[in-house]
Amino acid sequence: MAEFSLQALDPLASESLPFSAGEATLSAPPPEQLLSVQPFSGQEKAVTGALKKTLDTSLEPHKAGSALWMGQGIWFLVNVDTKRAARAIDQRAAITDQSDAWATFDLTGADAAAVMARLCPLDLDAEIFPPSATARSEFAHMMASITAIEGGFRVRVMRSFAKTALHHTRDAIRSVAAQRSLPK
Amino acid sequence: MSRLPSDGLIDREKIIRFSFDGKSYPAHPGDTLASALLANDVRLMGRSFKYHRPRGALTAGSEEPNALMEVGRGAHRVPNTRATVQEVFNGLEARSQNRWPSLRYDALSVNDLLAPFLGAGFYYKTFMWPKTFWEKLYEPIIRRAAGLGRLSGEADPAIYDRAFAHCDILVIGGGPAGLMAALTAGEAGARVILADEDFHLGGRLLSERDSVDDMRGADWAAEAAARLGGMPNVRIMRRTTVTGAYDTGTFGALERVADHISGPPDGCARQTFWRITARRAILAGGAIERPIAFPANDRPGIMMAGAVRSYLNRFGVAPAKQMAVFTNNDDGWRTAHDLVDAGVEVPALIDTRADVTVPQGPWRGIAGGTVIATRGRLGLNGITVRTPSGEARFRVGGLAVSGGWNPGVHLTCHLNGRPKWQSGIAAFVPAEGAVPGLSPTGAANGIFSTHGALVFGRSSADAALKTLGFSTSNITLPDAEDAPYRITPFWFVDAPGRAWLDFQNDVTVKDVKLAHQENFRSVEHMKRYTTLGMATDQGKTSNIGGLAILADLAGQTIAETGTTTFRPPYSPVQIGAFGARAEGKGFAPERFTASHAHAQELNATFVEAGLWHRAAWFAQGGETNWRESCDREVAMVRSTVGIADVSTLGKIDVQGPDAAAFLDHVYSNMISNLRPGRVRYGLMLREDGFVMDDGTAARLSETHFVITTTTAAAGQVMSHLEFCAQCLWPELDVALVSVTEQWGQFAIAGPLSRDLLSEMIAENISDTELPYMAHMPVTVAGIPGRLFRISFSGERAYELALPSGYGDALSRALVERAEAMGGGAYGMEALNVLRIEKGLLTHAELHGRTTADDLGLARMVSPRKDCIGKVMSQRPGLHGPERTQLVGLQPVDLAAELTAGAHLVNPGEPATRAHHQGYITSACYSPTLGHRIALGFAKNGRARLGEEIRAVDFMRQKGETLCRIVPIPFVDPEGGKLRG
Repeated sequence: MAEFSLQALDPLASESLPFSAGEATLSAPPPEQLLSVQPFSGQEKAVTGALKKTLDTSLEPHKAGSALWMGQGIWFLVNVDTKRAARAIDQRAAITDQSDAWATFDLTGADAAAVMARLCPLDLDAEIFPPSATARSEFAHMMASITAIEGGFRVRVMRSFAKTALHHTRDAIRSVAAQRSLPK
Repeated sequence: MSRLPSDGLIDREKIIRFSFDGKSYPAHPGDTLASALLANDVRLMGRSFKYHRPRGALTAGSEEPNALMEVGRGAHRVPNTRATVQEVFNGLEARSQNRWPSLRYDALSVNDLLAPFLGAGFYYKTFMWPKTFWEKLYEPIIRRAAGLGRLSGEADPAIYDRAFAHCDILVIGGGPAGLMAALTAGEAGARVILADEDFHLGGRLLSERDSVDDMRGADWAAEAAARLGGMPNVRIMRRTTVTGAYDTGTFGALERVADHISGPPDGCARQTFWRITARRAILAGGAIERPIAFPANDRPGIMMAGAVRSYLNRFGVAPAKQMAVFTNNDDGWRTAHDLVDAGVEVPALIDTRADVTVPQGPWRGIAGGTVIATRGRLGLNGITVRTPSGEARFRVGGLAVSGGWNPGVHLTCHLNGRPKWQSGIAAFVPAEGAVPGLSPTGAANGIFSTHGALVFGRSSADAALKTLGFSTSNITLPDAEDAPYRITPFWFVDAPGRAWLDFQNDVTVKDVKLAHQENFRSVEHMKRYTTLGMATDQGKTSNIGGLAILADLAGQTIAETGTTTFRPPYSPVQIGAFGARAEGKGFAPERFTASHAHAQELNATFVEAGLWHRAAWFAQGGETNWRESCDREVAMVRSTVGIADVSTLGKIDVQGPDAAAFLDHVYSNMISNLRPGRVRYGLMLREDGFVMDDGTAARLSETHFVITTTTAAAGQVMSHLEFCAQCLWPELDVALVSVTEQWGQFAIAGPLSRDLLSEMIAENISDTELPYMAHMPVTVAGIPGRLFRISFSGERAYELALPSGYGDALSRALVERAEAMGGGAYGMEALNVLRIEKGLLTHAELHGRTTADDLGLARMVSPRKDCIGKVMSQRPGLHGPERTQLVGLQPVDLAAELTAGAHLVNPGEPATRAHHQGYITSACYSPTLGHRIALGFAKNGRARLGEEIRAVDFMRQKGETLCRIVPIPFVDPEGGKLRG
């Protein structure tokens, strides 16, 4: 067998980021390690307890921390030690590697909410959706995971949608930025 | 000049210029197109729809039926723009519409002379015969003669945004009631959206001289707006019309973002269509003044009395030097006072009520008077009044008319609410609870005084706050006028001549009478017969007048007659705004594989499959036609090795103690007895017994499977499985998650495929270790992956999966090695030919109307267990010789064509539906066999092998091909190549 190596490519590798216009910035956080966790029947408590104890990670609905809620009964562990997590879970939950399946980008700045209003139907008011709140929703016309972070939002879409998602996000940023300059 | 020397909310310091019908005029910021034209003595602004009558602005608001114009140039041209709404900006270009050759000399005004023949129902009666003439002759002529503005005929280059907003309380309308409601709700800490269609907040306060809290109404409104602007919990949306009320507190709203400037900056939306979700809504949209119908009441210069006050007080424009006032209510009197105060001569104040004392002033007050005639070809120059003592003629350039006010009930009708007649104000008011969570207030609810608007604005907000759990505010109420509203209904003047009801659609009192005479007596029938209220203004100024006349004719009350239904949108919305961000790339998301850039470098042409963009073929060298590339790629796979990205196929990870049992339920064939390390082809049925999808199931461990779906059905299968797991068998302990995007998966197909992989994979992949339909974990350049020995080409083939991040690198590594062996990349076209040659299925065959038996897969519906769709698949008529069954087809003359979509007919029988024998689903040229082949469904096909049948292509009309029904697969029927 011949010796060779393979280089991994980030889903946003070909995009020129960060992109800013007006008071909004689109940027890519460092690549994430994602491990899906779906506790089996009756095991939610045990799995939650084990993860809390070993990795100080808690599985909570509608919350994003080191465990990101991704819908009914499913969380993604974000950037945790996968092997330790698997040992702690001890086959009481289904786990899959999702690190390569998603593209993650951040939208920040004073106009982040105005830009999001053009892409996502969620009520993202800071009182209702404070940092670390998360939801599955529509983003442009794609399914996505939306999380509030300090100063903006973190959006995850399935990898293949990344180009489309960024295209629409840039359009929305440009439109909101241009509206700032309009006479009242 | 008709511009008054002072007053108004215009910036007199600045002069801007605009053009109308090519002529340049000055205006001030704060002007609408209509106010600026009136200020320049331009009263003639358009021609009417049917009779091409000269028309001017009737109103000063969004209800305008007459002053419709084309604004903008070239592809940016927008027809039917209401001059009363459009703000003037420097360089604005407006043109009159529905006239030829010019607005003053319109050739089609001949229609007006033909009016006796053109009444309601004229078209229906006249153009009935001969039938075929309607579409080809009559309709095009009528459309040319009767119309509104012209579309540019080019694609609209403007950008439209769509957006979402949320609030506790949505206040619709920024007049006194709306401002008071917003202040009350804002002070209490609720999240408030105040949406107003105007560019200044204040509503009627901007048009009246009344004071609020010892300030001019407009100043109080500006102060209130400033207070609201300082509240972080209040969002003011000016130039935003709430266009529709929908379920669960959702409202549509159109924001005119950049219609007030000469061109939006790059990337800026011209308009934004909002979906506002509100926990409560307060409708404070005000009321619309209605006209009185009297002979020739449509001449330019005849205006609503309230609009005249708007032009005087808000825009500082006198619509004419002499104006009379014609009213049936006290409110009309204000206009006479305001006109005189502005220096306009008022020769007569005519009140239809005989029992009132008309106020004193420098005018002739006529109680019990009516206007019975008007004069002036292109604009009013005189009126004739019938007084209790005879007739009087007045020379006037303008006439202010008030028939009373109609509350703006429109939004409350959008969920089928029926407004209620309130005789005290002779108008319809919103029905209680017509839109859940929405309360109408102020003039929209029939409270016409400013004091009443403020009181009820506050109390409506308090009520909403209370239901939402906010403590109510103790905001003080400003002082304001509280004049009683006194009206005696008066709808039309009984005098000779045409009296207009619907100005936009040219419907007169006579038309309504004709409808009644011809037995179109229900209000909905009358509407359709006369087209009253069916123009773009939805009859905002005309509906009530029309139905009042109908009620009169029928001897009913107006309440008994009822109204027609107001529907969204409240005012016209451009299709571009409804379709915001849904055109071009917004039409559907594009999905790209990890190897997309590599495929582009290899000169791939792409095809959409589902939302995915997949390489269809890779043109090489001098190849100019897709067939050349496809034939080469097929031959390459059959002789050496080909590489195809198959990552787009759905991959679902199924885990859990009951995973195997679950899959037995959803697949028609047995999955639970599959050994770990093995793969099985599986078929899923729908509940109705027809085939839904096919794919493979690979068992990774006792409790862990990965199943594949077709590319197009990945989402459908995932949601089907979720439904099965959550609703049908919640007791089964199984976890499902999509891993489609986690894996970059490549088919390596061809006799040299194992040789190629052996160079890249550390593990032993001999046929003993990895036989056909087996899989194993592998390591490629240190990266853990999965290798499946499956084939969609009939050749020895593998599918190698690595995490998607390596998809690009893996694609390059595989293709480079394949090329070194005389192979290379192949695309969807070759993949399709390869599978047709092998008789394998796609959704061309699994098209939703085929059963397992039709496909020759009846034995895949396991007799040893139940599954979704099994019972229903056993229904009579879903199997047997009467069904069409999957067969192979090849032309008898091997040089002949075969096309997918052709229908099968027996030789000697006519090609008609009654003799239909089946159809072709997939066809291709087989480079392996050297002639065309096809898959199709023929009646009792499996028993007819060797028979001849005709393929008739009705679609392409290429004649027909005599075929022979042949067994499938066409290539390697024993599967020797497959197993190696």
